[in-house]
Amino acid sequence: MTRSSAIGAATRRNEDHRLLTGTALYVDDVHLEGMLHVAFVRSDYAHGLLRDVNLSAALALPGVIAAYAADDLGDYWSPGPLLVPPPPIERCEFRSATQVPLAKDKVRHVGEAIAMIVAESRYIAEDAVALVEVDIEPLPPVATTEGALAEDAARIHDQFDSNQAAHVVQEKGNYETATANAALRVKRRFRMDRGASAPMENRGIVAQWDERCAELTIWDTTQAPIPIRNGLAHMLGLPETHVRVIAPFIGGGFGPKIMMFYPEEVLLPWAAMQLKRPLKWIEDRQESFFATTQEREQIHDAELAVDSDGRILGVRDSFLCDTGAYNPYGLTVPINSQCTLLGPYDVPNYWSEFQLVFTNKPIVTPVRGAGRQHGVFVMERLLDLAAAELGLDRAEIRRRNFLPPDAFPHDHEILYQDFAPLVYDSGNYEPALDKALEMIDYDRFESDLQPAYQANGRTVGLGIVSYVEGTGVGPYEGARVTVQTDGRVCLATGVGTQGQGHFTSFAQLVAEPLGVSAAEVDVITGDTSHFNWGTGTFASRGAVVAGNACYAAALAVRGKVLATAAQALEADESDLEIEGGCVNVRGEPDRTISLGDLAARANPLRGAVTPGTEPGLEATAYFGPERGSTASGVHAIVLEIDRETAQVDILRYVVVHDCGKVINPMIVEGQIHGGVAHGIGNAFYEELVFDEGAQLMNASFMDYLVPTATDVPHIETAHITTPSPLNPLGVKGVGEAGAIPVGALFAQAIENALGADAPEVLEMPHSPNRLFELLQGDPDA
Amino acid sequence: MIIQSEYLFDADRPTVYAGLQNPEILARALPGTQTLEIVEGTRYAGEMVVSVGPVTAARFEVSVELTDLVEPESFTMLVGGKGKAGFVDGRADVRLEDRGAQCLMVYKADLGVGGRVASVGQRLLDSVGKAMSQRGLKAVDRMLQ
Repeated sequence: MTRSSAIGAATRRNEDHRLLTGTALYVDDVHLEGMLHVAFVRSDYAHGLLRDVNLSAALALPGVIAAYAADDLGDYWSPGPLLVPPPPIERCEFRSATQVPLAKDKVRHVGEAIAMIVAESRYIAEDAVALVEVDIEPLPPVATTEGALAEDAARIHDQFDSNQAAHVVQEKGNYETATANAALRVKRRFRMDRGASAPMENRGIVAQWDERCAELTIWDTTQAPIPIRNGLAHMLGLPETHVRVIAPFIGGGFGPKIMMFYPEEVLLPWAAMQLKRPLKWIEDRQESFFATTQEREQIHDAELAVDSDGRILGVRDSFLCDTGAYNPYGLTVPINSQCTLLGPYDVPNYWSEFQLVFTNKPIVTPVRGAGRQHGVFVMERLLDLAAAELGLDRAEIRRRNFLPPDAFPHDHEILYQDFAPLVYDSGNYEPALDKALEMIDYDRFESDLQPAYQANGRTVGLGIVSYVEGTGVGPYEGARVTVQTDGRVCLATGVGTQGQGHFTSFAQLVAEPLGVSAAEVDVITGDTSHFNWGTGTFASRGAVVAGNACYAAALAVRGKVLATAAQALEADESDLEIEGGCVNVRGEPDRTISLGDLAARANPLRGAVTPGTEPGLEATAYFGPERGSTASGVHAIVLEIDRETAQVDILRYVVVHDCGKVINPMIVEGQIHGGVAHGIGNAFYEELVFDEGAQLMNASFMDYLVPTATDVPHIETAHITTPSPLNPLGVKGVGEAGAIPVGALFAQAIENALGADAPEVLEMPHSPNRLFELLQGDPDA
Repeated sequence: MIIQSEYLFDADRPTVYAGLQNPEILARALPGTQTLEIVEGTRYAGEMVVSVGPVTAARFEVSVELTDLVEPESFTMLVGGKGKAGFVDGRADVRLEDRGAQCLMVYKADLGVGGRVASVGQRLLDSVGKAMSQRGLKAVDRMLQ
């Protein structure tokens, strides 16, 4: 084994050669003989009765092979599954309405699919889309979160008596009695608006039906190939073994690609079987703004009560969460908000209530952070406000309220999104704060640096916030490790990969126990024909759940390697060491055998495999944690405001992060960088703007602002390592961490830059527009 | 989308009022109108071609109905347009006032816009709407001379 492949080393990424030379396979790279192309007719109306869909003119267009509306699907038409039923929370009312493959009777958001066209080319299919006559009788749309619950609001789902999708209360201690003598209460309304996940690669599907073999193959930009396989097999009446789902390289997942089943995902395989031709659909950028799920609209009314030292007595929060037109993802987002609000702090009393509401907007499912941003925003802003009222330093109020290192495991006495109690496994928050304060030069900032900026007419502020991230939830993942006769190692796991570096970090986990380099481990992810048990890539769980399965399988293979080598070398297993792809008898360099030779011996052509053993150097292992592990961190920023243009310039950005044991620090930093970029968008640029008709007003990158390379600063990182006791590797997730606290960070830094009289920043995203209004002294800002 | 503005005609009030009841002249008030014909009474139907930013030469089937007619003072125009690029739906309240030998039109249109016109054309919709209405009224003014 070379040093650079060890667990914890910054091993160079195995996948980069393919990604950088354009040889990696993406869904759109799949070209099959006789392949047809699909386009969708989508609703222009946010809410309306679907009176008629006339496909005849479209069908008459030369090159059009087929066209389908809801009624053409017959028994195959069925609403999608409720992916995540509500956790067993005592005070929980829940109503479920899931998305449909093609709208029938009613349309419920702009962009909802109404008809599907199959043609010889995408050009013809798009022309045919324009020929479909859709008769919609408009209904009043529900365009806002608050409007959803108004007495006179139109009902989006007729089977329910209101647009309330859920009402949930979770409580710890007793907020009212515990805070009766509070020295200070701060209460505010906080708003968070919608954003898109905006992946570089939109969604796409290719479906191929092999009539002779009765086998269906689907290339899908999904984060969950195995559940997609299982679901489609069930829907189409095929054995699971006859459906293969391949999630190849994917240009960004960010959560919406774990959503299932998207209409396109159920329609293309079905139509491919009907037509006996391969079909392709690639989502265009405009479709992506409507047809791919979104997140983040919430309104919180929250109150924090503290004693005169700034110690938290309790928090009370009541919030509305928009789920869009359907709620296939249940309560995951609002429960994440509810739980993550508690942050790294000791909150003895907590009363939290939310209502999930249907609106005539695109569907809400988790997007990187998945509701955690909201909780962090509310808590961090309340602490800032309390600190200001008490004349307390903002770092100090956080320090005073941190859970101390001996408080773990810490039970928050409410339920988390994975149905397990919200128990933090481990954490050590103060060193991360100290490190961040030191790195951002906190002590000198207000005394020296900020006055110096001011003297030069510059408006510069500092922000520093803390957060936790629930990561690595179950149920389980698996992996199979095989030593091949050429000495290379094959690792197959079920999770899909969307740029997380799985081909490297998983390889490292297998390379170390087997004494090879990571470059000698061929990793296969996201192909159900190679591994078909598992759930998917979400909730920052790949390294924790799949990673530990990879490691366990490698350890099992290591046992087989040593047993086989002991026989071959006629030595005792305890005298053997594995290094550089060979097993050696310690201290006797001549007594050695390669892994490849051992693999051949373990799979003989003659002789017998001893009863009770298995052929080959192969093992499969699974890992499922009893509950998620809690990562944490501190972000600090120095930003400058241009008072004329209301643009901000990030001068410094510091992340001190604790994701337990680090498998590959370079990959962890890459995840943090990407997360921060996403967070900066959510904090200051990205907002999906809907008008009163629930029409999306900025469905293009001309109008929807994502941060560009010049908006994302150099990010200085440091790691604190508090291993998780919940898994053998001691790892925690990191995928969402970078994105979670950025809104709260920007808000604090903007207020700090503008000085003591600055208006409060109580919404996310902020934006150049809103900042401009703030600078103008807009009373509503 | 609200379009609120006024226009001073070089014609007297009865002339302006009567002119706007004529589909041929009314069509001029809606730039891009290819055809506009009487369906019945004061209900008209026709076709328009409109460009808004990246949405170019989008064809709409339009319907126009004049209601609440108070000769020669005011009327309401109900407008509906539907095409592959989206839809427009709403009303315009129109008031005519004497200004000596001239006539001032004060109008306020409240239009719902949807589909691609809204989602990618939004940035330009207000200015296009305002410019189109003024251009249309100028054309009507010329026809009335």
